[in-house]
Amino acid sequence: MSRVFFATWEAPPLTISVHAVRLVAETSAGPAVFSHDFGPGLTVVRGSNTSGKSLLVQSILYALGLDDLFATRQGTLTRAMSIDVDTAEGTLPVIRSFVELQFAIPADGPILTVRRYVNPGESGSPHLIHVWPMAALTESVPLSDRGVGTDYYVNRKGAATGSAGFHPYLADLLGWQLPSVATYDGVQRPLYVQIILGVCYVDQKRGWGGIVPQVPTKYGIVEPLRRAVEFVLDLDFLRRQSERRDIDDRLNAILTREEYVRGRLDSAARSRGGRIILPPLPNTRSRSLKGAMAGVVLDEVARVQVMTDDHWESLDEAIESLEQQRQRRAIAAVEATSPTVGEDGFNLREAEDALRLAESRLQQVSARLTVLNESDSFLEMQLGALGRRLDATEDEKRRYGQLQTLANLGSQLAESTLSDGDCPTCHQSLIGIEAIEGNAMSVEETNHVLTQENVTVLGLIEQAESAIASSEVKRTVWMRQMAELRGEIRALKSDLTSAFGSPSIAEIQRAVTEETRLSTLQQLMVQTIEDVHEWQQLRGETAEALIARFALGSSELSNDDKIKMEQWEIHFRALLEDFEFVSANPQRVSISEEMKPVVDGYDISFQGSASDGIRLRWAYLLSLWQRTMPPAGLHPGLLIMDEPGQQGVEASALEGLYRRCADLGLAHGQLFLTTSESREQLEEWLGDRPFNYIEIDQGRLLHLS
Amino acid sequence: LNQVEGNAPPGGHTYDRGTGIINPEVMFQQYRSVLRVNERVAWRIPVLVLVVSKFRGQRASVANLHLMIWAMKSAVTRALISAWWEGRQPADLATIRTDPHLEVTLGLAAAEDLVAIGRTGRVELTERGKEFAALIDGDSELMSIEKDLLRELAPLNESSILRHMGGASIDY
Repeated sequence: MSRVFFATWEAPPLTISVHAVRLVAETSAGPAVFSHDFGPGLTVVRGSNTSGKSLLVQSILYALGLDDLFATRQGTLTRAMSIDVDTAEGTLPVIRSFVELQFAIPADGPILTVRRYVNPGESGSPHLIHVWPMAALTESVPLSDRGVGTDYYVNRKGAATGSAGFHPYLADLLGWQLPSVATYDGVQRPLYVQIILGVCYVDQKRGWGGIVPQVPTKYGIVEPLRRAVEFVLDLDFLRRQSERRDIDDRLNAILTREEYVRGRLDSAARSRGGRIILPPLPNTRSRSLKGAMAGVVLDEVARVQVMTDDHWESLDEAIESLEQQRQRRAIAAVEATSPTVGEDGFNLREAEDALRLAESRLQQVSARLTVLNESDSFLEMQLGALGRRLDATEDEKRRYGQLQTLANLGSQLAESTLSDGDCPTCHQSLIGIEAIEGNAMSVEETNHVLTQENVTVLGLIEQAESAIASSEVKRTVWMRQMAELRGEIRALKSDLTSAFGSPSIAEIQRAVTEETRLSTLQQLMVQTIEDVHEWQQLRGETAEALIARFALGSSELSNDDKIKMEQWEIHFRALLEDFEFVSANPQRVSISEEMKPVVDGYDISFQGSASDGIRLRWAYLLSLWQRTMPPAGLHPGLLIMDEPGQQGVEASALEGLYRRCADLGLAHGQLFLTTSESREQLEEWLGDRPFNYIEIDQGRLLHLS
Repeated sequence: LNQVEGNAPPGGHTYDRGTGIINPEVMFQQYRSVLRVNERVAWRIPVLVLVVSKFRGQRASVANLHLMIWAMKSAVTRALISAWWEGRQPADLATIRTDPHLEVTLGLAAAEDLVAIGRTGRVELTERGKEFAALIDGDSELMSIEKDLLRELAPLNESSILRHMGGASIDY
């Protein structure tokens, strides 16, 4: 037994091979120790109740930082390893204790020895795992000769994903790429190693309670068992889901940024009397790529427009036109042709006409502004009414949504009226009672109508809000125009009453207005040019992410996945037959997408015998192990079943289990079973099948050395 | 306005090759109306049971049930009764409201043995009614807005309603 045996054994690649374990509890009378070397295949740990069988198998998990699989409120390991230990010299307090484990990944790969403290005494930490790259246990290398080693963390914030975490290190050794999975707090996290290894261990106390393996739920991962089984089965589905979530995260980040950039562009444009015309974004909610890209032309560019007089023109054109005017004014100044009052160039009639025109335009703009304000008040009123309508339909929808719950609650108490919709006395339909016209829609139809009504009202609200937003821009522009016109009127009046020879104030006023406008528009250009560019990029990135998401295909199991599931089911059913499962025809038992056993598609809410529940668990774990050993799957090759002979399961079924475990153990990795059956009984069951045997002496695991 | 059912497809027609006459199939279809949830017996009975369960002794007069069940009707009625209750708006005879379907609801609930009419003429919950009320109370999400309003108005009894509403309820 031990290393030599492992070296010649053809273990599947990338599985854990446990070589040896050593438990040490230091006391005032010296260390109480248990150490043992393990071989491949089946190992049976035999001992009486409370002798320490569970302590031994849990120590293997503890050394690997997997105490979540068995930890109880009382502590991570038994009193013997943490508080006081029973020895030949009586019960002695534990000063310091640790577990050491020697293993290799893969079986013929580099050998590692780890030490983890249980009771760290005055130094050390139970959250640290010390790793030495050597066979320190089978070759009895003392601590002083092991060198420094490397420390990794467990059960600490960041230990599950950070580079100093022991589990990322373990996952790396196993060649695992941990997928991102959904959590209840809405963020994506890598699937924890502790959750995956939940399919490798059945706890004696609570593990045999259900019909599926118990995996830790404390990490908030949605459907942890399903994710763990999908992972060891190496389903495309999980990989695709993970990729899909990564893409969705990226899409969310892009869309958040897009919203921010759009908002910045919008407010910059609005504050200067402009608007942004953005081509449509790909529709991220569409179910097909064609639908998502409908109406999207990626070459189409975002445009900034400003209102000049009564029409929208592009920002470039508006700036160009103002610059041309400035140029004309400059040339005129150089040629000294700027008119002064009373000179030949100054035409009194023209000035009077200009004044009349400006006054008339002021009146027009003022009238438009009044109409706009009236229309806005109407829109605000409409928005208020729509808001109230929305509240009312949502309230109605909420109540309709609760009708079924109320009917279910009252089905035993008021069956006729609440469940059947009939009068309890005459058993006629209540339809004529509820509505006078007696032709009302059903609850489902009404729900549908209310949903549609909600959509309509939301659409109207959106339209009204967009109309109000667009009128804000118009208001800004027209108010600016009114200010400019008032300035022009003042200047023209001043010119008409000025002394001959003085410079035209109207001309100066116009020049100042145009300069101010040019400067404003140039600022708008500077402010928006980069944002427009970024927005274009974000739009392109949205399209790329959507194309990548649709390229992943459907969110269902792939054909390969289905084949894997079917093969697992074949193994599962064969084992159910072997273990004499009688609660249902084993050939009608299958595994649902939630990775739970079902009969004819219905969950097995276990109504059969408790011992059939145990048989179901054995078959589930062993068949999963059988189907998912590398390279076919990603099972780590280790299975520990603590006291599988629960619930008075018959000896014949136990015999079947032991034989299967011995056969599968040698072919697939290492399997540990604990039992209180006698050695003779085990030998009778197992016949000439090889197995490793550990007998716990004198009813206790640890002995003073 | 009655729906005519026949073999012809809706809006279809028959064509007589001999005469060349097209006989259009005329179809009348009646659109069914949307029933407000307040008119549904399946909603009204739970509301009645819930309201009675919040009255002292789980019994209430018909007049007060008219007022309270009307108050449950919509956001507007809920806001109105709150305003009256807190004295922000005067509650007087002009503001009295009744629930036109209460009589039918009471009849059905009594037939289902959820409520009974006591010796004083008040509506009281039977054992089944109390059980139903407890089930509704047990689910905090269910009828939560209605429960919130009743909590706001608690304690509900004849004298508190008289005090807050200034006698503005109908005496039957």
